[in-house]
Amino acid sequence: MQLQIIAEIFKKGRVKHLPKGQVVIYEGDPTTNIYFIQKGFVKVYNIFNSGDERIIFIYGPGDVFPLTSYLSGSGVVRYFYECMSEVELYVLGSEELRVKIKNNFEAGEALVDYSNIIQNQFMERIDNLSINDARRKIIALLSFLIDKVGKPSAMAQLDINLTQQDIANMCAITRETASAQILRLKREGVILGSKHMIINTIKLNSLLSKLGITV
Amino acid sequence: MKKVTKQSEKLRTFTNPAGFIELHFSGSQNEDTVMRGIADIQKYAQKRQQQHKDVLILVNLKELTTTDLGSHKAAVYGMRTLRYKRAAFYGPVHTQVLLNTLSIISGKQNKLKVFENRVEAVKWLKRR
Repeated sequence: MQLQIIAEIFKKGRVKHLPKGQVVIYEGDPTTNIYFIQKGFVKVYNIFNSGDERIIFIYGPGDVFPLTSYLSGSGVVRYFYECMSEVELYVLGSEELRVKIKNNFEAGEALVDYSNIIQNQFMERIDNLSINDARRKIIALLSFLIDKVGKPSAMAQLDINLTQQDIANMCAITRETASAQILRLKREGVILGSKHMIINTIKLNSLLSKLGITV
Repeated sequence: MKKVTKQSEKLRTFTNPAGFIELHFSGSQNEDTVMRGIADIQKYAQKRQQQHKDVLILVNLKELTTTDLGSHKAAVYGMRTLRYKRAAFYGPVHTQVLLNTLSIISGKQNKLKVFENRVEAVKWLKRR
């Protein structure tokens, strides 16, 4: 119901089509526009002084960004937002969105509730990044990916092509470590497929339970 | 010995020596507790107005836990009906999101601002 309300708010906005690799918002930009993803996926990341990229989150269809930066009143975006695929967006200016929320409790409550859900997911992702075990990190990541970029089922296929470097960047590990762990998970039958990963969710859930990983 | 009631555990209102009306909300809040806070501000604000002084409000939300729709509607009512020059709120991100959104709903965003910490909130309240 909430998501329907949010979609209704944004579908009156301008449509924008962006190619894979396009940076939508740069870290430090003002919250001039707020985006609703109709199709495609957008990664959220920061860059360390070393130049390493750390992917913190992925937004998919139905998601809105940078909502917390806008709703909190900070007015400044904290991360980079980049298209991981071709993306179709609905765009509202910050003033346009303000006008839609003014005197509209239903819209305001829906946006706050959605923002809380995303913040909790963000926190979970950041917690997972601090786990000191590459295997546990990747297993936790696979569960997140099924929810965000896959179709939950016994054999869940991800809707996006992720490289080993992407997986490494999402787990704060090297590409070589990510590669070794992915190979191990393939041998165990947890990961199948090459271009678009397929995840055996029964085996994944068993590993999550065995290793005591909560997601 | 003064009995501490459940209501006073959830809400404290007083005048700060710097001249702000200060409210501290703790724990879960509902329509009743927020309306009580609004009534408290009203009382203190009337005294300030009689002295021809600006009504500046500082609200501490660091210990706020849960809220409900009734408390949100009461907050918007307060934002719209109270007479004040500026009101600053401070607390963690999720309360910043909530209060800023309620200020947008109320249409009073020009008089209300949300901050991460008390220092920034006080700095903004004190500006001329």
